[in-house]
Amino acid sequence: MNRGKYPFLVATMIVPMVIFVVFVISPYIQAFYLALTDWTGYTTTYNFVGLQNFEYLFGIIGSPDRFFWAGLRNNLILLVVVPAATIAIALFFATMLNLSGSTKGGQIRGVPGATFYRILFFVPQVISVAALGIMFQQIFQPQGLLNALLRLLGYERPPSWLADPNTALATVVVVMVWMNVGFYMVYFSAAMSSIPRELLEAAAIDKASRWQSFRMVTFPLLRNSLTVAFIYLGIAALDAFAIVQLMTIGPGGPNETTTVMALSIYKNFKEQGQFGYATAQGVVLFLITVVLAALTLRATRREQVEM
Amino acid sequence: MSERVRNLLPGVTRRTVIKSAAAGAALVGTGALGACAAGGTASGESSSNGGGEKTADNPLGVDKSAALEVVIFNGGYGDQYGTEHVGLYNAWAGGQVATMTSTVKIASTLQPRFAGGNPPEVIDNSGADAMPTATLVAQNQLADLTPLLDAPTIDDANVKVRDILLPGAVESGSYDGVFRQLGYVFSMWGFWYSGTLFKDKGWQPAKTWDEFLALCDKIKSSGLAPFIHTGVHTQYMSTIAETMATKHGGRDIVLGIDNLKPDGWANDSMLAAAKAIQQLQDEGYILDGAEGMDHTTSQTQWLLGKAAIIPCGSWLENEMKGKVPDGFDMVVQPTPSLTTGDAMPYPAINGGSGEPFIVGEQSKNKLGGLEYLRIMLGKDATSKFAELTGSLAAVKDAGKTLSSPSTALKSVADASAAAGENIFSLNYATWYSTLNDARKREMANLTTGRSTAEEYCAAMQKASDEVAADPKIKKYSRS
Repeated sequence: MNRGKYPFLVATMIVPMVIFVVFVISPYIQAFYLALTDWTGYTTTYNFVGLQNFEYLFGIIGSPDRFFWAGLRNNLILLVVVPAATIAIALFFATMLNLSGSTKGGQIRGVPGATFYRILFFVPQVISVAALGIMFQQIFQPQGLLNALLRLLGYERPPSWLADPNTALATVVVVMVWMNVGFYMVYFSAAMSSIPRELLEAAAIDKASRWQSFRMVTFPLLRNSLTVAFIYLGIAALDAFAIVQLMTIGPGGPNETTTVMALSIYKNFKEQGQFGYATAQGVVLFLITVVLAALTLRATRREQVEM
Repeated sequence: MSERVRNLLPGVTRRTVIKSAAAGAALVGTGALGACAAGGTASGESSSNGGGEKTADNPLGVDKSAALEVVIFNGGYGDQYGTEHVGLYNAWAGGQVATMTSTVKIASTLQPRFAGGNPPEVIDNSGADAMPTATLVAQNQLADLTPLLDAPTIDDANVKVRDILLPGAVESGSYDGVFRQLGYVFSMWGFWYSGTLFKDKGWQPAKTWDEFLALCDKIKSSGLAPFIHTGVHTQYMSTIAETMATKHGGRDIVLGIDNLKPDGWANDSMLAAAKAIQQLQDEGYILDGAEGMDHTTSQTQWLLGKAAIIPCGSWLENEMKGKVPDGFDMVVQPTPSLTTGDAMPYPAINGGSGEPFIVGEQSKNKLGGLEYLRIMLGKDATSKFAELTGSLAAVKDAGKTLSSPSTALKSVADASAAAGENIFSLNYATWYSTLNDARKREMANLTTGRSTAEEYCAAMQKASDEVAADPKIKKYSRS
């Protein structure tokens, strides 16, 4: 009976595999090759230049590319702050909406109105990034909504947010966290619903406080979901292109305080016509992301809880 | 902007399994670029240009039966004028050979065409998604337009096209001395104000910087912010600084900056101009919050009467169409002279021909492209353009044929007539996009008090020196 299995597998897999190879693998391979050329993006021919693009990037020839490395610095700041803040807030909301209400008839519930809040917090997820970028640009404008509110509250000289190098990146962080919290709240809610209620009820019977049952029961059982969330958010933090390109002054400014690596890639291609060089930056971004993702997976692998 | 990149990112990060997601999203930077590259294997066949016989009606020798593709940037000037111009070409050719498409995404649409060796004939390379002209020139992708300059005009066989273009038009469209892009629309930079407001308050437009500061003081004491600018697009203020410095120090300032000279920015004229702008900030003459406003926001605030004077280009009226209050009477004046001993007279302006039209070197009907440009510069085409867009085409005497122009258009035509030969423009920001980034960055620092005039000049000089020393950037020069 096993004879029919192999042709069946081939028949079903061949189309997706071809599509995957043509549209995913082959562009990647081309990208690695293009990083070694001087292609501008506007000619039919180009020259192989070896590692020259990487030498420019690392300043072995000329001075190091300040825009790209400022982007790396900001990406790393985002990588530290955005996942941590998003996950902390999303966990808090998920706990409040699922496990922190009154215990009726032995059932653990969320706070009153949990369903309403769940929808409310999820709304940012369904708005397009372009709309969000424009919206927040207006809110954080020095004469915008936020500062009008702050002036009403008595702050005579509120910060100018995106126009001030001291507050610009923090503003980007706030927006990125706001964009992501809703999705991870729903994600953690789903994970929490798979936690056996008996464990939480047992903890309650043992007079565990809410904080204790969160720390000793909920949190360890969510570890897998947290790993996934960290990796996804880490990738989002290493990218951050769309919101930075749409919202910040420059974009990437003031003084390169909000630029990210992907923006440098974009600028080098689009504005400077240096496709090969832009691709070399893409390769570096790729390597950094893979290394960080691998480290995250390795660091969290052995701490899984057996159930 | 690349929709492709923006759309790809969330899709990849959310839908892929963990490990491959890590690799996949990381590759977005490289992969998205690679995806654009896929078409780059076409042959290097050169265009065929032969065909037509040279006659008085057809001085360039175009094959009238050959197809012609025109791509218009559908921005502030719309695309209706393109339709009209294509109609004029078809009438000339005696058949429906020319077609027009319009888009706001020039580079996204046309980069694959260039990479495939099949670009359109005529391109209006403008807007936020314009292609990098310097790169196209360096790769010999743009046709040499010199034959057009030496051809007779449509309207008078005894006048060459070269002679009806504005002063500086050939120079500013030339790369290493070869004419590659035709700026079609006349534009100029200046200080704008409401004629009605100034008349009501008895304020006089200032001709020198001292007068300007005195005027600002007067305006401020009346409770109005004297000055507003866009802090998001600080290239506007940078252009003003360069204009004032050039009027102060003469053409050498333009040449020094464009040719990346070691004293291009570090000189007395540039410093004087930077100090003038620093004064605006120090004296509190700039409206609070301007540092975070984009161009349309700042222009709206100005129209709402929150500030008296705004620096902008001559497209301002057209850009704010429908938002100008009745009786506002917007008027432009040249930037004030820094001193009474400036090298150039007060009417000198930073301006010239914008809205760059280019012809693809590899396109099939290159000569037809040149002919199209020749037709565009004829009186029929330029008056149609002014009628449809409220802007002047960049040919001499375009202002003379206006019927009942607005105060804004009239002030532009007057300023251009008064300037005469004293029209100049700088090319460095188009030639070197890293310097365009630098000027935006450093002007934002200067106008918010984060740096002084001295620091501004030093930072710009450093950025210019870095470009001069960067081996991967193709250099241009002018004289």
